[in-house]
Amino acid sequence: MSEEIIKMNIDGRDIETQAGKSVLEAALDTGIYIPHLCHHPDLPAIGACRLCIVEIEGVDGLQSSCVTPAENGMTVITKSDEIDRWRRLAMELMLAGHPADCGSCDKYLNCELQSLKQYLGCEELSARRRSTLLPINNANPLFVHDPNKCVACGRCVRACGELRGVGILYYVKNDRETLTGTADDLPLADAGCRFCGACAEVCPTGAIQDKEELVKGKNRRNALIPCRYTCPAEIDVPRYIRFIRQKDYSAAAAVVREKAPFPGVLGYVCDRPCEEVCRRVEVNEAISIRELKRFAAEHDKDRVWEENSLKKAPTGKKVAIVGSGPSGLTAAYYLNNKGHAVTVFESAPFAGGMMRSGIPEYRLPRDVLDSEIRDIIDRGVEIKTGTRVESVDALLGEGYDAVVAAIGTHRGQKLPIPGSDSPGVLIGIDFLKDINLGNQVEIGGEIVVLGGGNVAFDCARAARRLGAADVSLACLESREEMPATDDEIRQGEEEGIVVHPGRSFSRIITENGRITGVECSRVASLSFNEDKNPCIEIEENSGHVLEADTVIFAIGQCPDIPPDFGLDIKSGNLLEIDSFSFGTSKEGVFAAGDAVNGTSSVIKAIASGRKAAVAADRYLEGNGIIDEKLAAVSEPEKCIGFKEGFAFVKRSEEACVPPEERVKSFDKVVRDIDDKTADEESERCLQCDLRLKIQSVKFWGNY
Amino acid sequence: MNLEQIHARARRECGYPDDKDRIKVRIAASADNPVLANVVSRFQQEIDRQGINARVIAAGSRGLYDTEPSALIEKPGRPAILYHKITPEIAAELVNDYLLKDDARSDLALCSFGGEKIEGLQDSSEIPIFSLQNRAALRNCGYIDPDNINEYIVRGGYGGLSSVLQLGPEEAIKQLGKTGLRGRGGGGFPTAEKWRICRDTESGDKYTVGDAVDADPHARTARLLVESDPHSVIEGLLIGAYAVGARRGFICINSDYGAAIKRLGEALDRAREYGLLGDNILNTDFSCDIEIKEVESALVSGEETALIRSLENKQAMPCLRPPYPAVSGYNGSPTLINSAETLANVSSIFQGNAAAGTKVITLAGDIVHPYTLEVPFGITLRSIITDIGGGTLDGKDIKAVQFGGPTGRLFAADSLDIQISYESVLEAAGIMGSGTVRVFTIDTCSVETARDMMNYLQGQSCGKCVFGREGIYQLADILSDIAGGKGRPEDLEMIAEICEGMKSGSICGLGRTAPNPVLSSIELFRDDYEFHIKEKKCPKK
Repeated sequence: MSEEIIKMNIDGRDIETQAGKSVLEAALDTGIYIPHLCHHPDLPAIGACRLCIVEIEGVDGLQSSCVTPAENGMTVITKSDEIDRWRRLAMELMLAGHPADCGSCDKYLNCELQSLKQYLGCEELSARRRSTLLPINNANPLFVHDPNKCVACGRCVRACGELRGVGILYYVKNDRETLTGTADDLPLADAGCRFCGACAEVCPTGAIQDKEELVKGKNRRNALIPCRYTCPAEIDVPRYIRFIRQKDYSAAAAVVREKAPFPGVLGYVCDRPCEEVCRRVEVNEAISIRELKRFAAEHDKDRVWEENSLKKAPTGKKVAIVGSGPSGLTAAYYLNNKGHAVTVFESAPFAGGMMRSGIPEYRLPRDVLDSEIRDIIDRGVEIKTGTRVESVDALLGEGYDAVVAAIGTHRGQKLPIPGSDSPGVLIGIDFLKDINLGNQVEIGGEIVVLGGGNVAFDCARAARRLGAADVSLACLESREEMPATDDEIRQGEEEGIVVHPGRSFSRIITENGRITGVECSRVASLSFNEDKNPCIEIEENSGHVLEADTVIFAIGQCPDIPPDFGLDIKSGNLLEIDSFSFGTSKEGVFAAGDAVNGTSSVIKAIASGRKAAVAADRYLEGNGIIDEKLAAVSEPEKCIGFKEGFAFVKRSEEACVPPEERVKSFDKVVRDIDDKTADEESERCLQCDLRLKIQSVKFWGNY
Repeated sequence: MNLEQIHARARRECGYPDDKDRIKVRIAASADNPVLANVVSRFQQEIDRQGINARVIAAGSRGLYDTEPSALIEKPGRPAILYHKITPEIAAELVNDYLLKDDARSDLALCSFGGEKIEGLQDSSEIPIFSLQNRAALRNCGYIDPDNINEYIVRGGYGGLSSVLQLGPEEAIKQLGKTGLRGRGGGGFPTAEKWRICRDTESGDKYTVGDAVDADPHARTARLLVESDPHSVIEGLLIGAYAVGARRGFICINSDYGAAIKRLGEALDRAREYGLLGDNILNTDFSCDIEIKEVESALVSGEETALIRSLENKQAMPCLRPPYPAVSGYNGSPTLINSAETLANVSSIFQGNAAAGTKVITLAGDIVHPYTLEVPFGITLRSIITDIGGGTLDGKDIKAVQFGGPTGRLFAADSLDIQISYESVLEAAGIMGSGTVRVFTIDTCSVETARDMMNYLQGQSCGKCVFGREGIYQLADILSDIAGGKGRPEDLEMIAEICEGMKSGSICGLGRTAPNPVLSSIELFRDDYEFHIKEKKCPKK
């Protein structure tokens, strides 16, 4: 767009615009409405619908203002009887082949055609109406096409071709009707569609829409970029995948760090709720978002996040964080960024919380965790290990202006069944802590782990690595309902763990003081009441014994709250907070992570830590803004181009060390991916965020 | 090679100077004529058998399709005689009777050309099919062997290119301007002016396009030219390329013109061999090469902007103008588009022939001779139909004549004395278009014909603009209703309204001129329409 200013007159008003704009753009920019349909601010104009016609002084005939360049001294009339006459005829001609009933269409009240019809006052048609009875196409992923509603405005063709550079949509003739569609009526995937959604975004009628079930009832922005929205920490997934595609791995890692100071850890252990909702799932398989995160973190040589992260001037306030798990360290990191003096108190000999003591090394290599913790320490956070905090009042007394309690859920539980106090019965969480802290652990050869979550599998797989030949796992939940993540279950079974789902345990059998087995029954049905307690119905006569010489309980944990901690507790032995202010019962004391929410995931803990940091910062008279831009913010490239076979590229499956190999040690299970795989996998991304960059067309009532 | 050397070689290859004493048998027929191959081989066989000093030349069609294969026998010292409807048997007879002996067999002949009168045979000047024609663009069609570049050259071929290379581009454009040549592709825009505009547009890359696409399904102009005289088009294209500064050219042609495409390809190869195409043409620093682009046979291919989209491998759909292709066309560069007929005229003009003021037309519909021929401006429609076309089949009365192609207007039987020229046709609110003359007799129903025409146009509409797409759709539906007895009293008004909208609201000529057949039909036969609407049936049935 040139700098030159054009002065012209529209409907008696003197207006100014830039050289290069069309008369239509000049009018709309100034707030003068000229009806238009085939025009769209992001697409080249074609002058096809003849709604935007105007009179230009000195020029014969009516001109389509969308394709007429604004010129100095031009005098334009946008409304007259003559203009109205031809606009109405154009509209009638378009409506002739369009379904008559607006009310039954799900684009009702959100349809540009309907709005124009109202504006122009076309209720009765003198043109010959026709019913097109073309079938609605629901067979494509993500989008549904109703060809009866197409008015051949051509926006989708231009959006696909000229805007995105993909070009798989054409004007097609179906019998006598002109519509838009793929060549040879191929399904979108076969035609090379990249499912970017630009066509649905620009379609003025209900011809191309998102499938209802994907967007109904949801906020549009969130429904259309589900990965970012579903991430508890709202990590900008499309943006970091784009950086990976551009081979700027450092920037990609920086984008993750904008929301979470643990890109590497998450790259290994995140339970990836984003991948479940990834829109690519509808096409073939989700993007390996976690794997790409790991790749970026491990290739962050330039560490641009460090240069771009601004630490504010010291505020003079002191904050104490109790617990150095993911939620504690996250809160520490952000509060430190805001200029507060942060000290983290950790009762264990090493920092990291569950990341250190709960998650085995083969899932999360030590050096990755150590390096990210070191990054936090290097930013100025002090961590005092081997220091147990007994009461928050003591901390407040020591001069800390605020406290964040992030003590996690480190107390394991046993079922109160006969035999549960026998020697050889271990509490899973303690078993893992001992292994992870390098302590000596004694187990037998026949292990039964009771529990169905990740902790249970961690125990089982750790037991295998300690040399137990016979390891099985039994849990209440059915296979489908088991809370452990799919890859844990799969990898565990590959390593020889026998899974017995749907069992209820009644007794641990001992003989001469040694465990011989666990008495179980099959579960007929299982439900949970409001307090999250299980209601179990047992199958009759299904009692059997699982043989074992060691039993490990991994049925759940709760926070290990010191008796004089001084904060209110809610059911489940969790710390109670106000969900709005994140404050506990004590002023100036906040809480975060598993201690508040119960055992969940690292990413949820991180998200919780962020919220606590916001709340604490506000309390300390900061502005509560912890968001930062750690990577360059630039407009993503609109032209994404055509890629042969785009929709069929398969997801890169996480490669693992073969099971026989990996049970011999605690070395990491996943194999690293190479540049080429990262490149191909990031190329699979649909770039759903591009769609929201397309300008929306204002309806006439908004002028 | 320079022109002299080329000329010398061509003469040699054609057997000059001895060729003067040789009898020439020029057999004219379309490439797909089923008996052509046998006729040619029979002539050759008989000539060889009898040891006659004669040359058999397989020329392309002359455009007089129902006379072909025809044989123009040039015997030294005698006027050329045109024999028609040749079969292998007739071929044998002619060799024996006329080539060997001296029996002109006027019973097998159509006419003779100049010279002394032959017993029982009319001179061509007495036969309107020939006397009324003025073949400038078609000068070589049916005479020379289109696969033999030498024949083209000895008749002055590429002499036009050579003289233009000596004149220089500015002078060439000036001289063309003086002839007043107008584009024959349908628009009638002054050719020299288009060249001027293209030349004056600053650009690194320029392109030139020879539009050899018969967009009108009844026209055979491009096919005839490319099958019978491809070099006249190639030479014209090169002259235009030189004048505007283009180094690359395309010839667009209907993808189903298989024989023409093959012939064109071979002609381009011959031209390259002779240094008339490619680098340093005729030893100058003018370099230009041409490629063939096959295009869908559709009416919209007649729109320049749609043709350019085809070249760019996009959907062939017209765009708004300005910008005109001469300024911004193929890949945004200045692109000179001229129809094959225009180019054949250009090469003729620069070879030293006077600017002809002619138009190639094809006769179609209810006519005895559906020929492709070239007539001088000023000839009347009636003369074309009656004198050249032989009138209607079974001598039925004419109801109307559509002129110019599928979007041309109808002329009533009593208006056929209109003299064909760009000015007169425009004054009559018609179009020159493809120059097709389509005859309808009185047993056709005007409403049904209009309906059929609109249905055809509906199928041809590209679908991009509202008035083109929906306007034609509505007209087709309304006319269907009227024809089927379901017309409403306000329909004629509705048609008029829609037509007016289409004229100003369509993006391209197809939409703008599609109203012509309907409006002229209603203008001429309003009673028919009103009868259909009121009585709900056809007055003929």
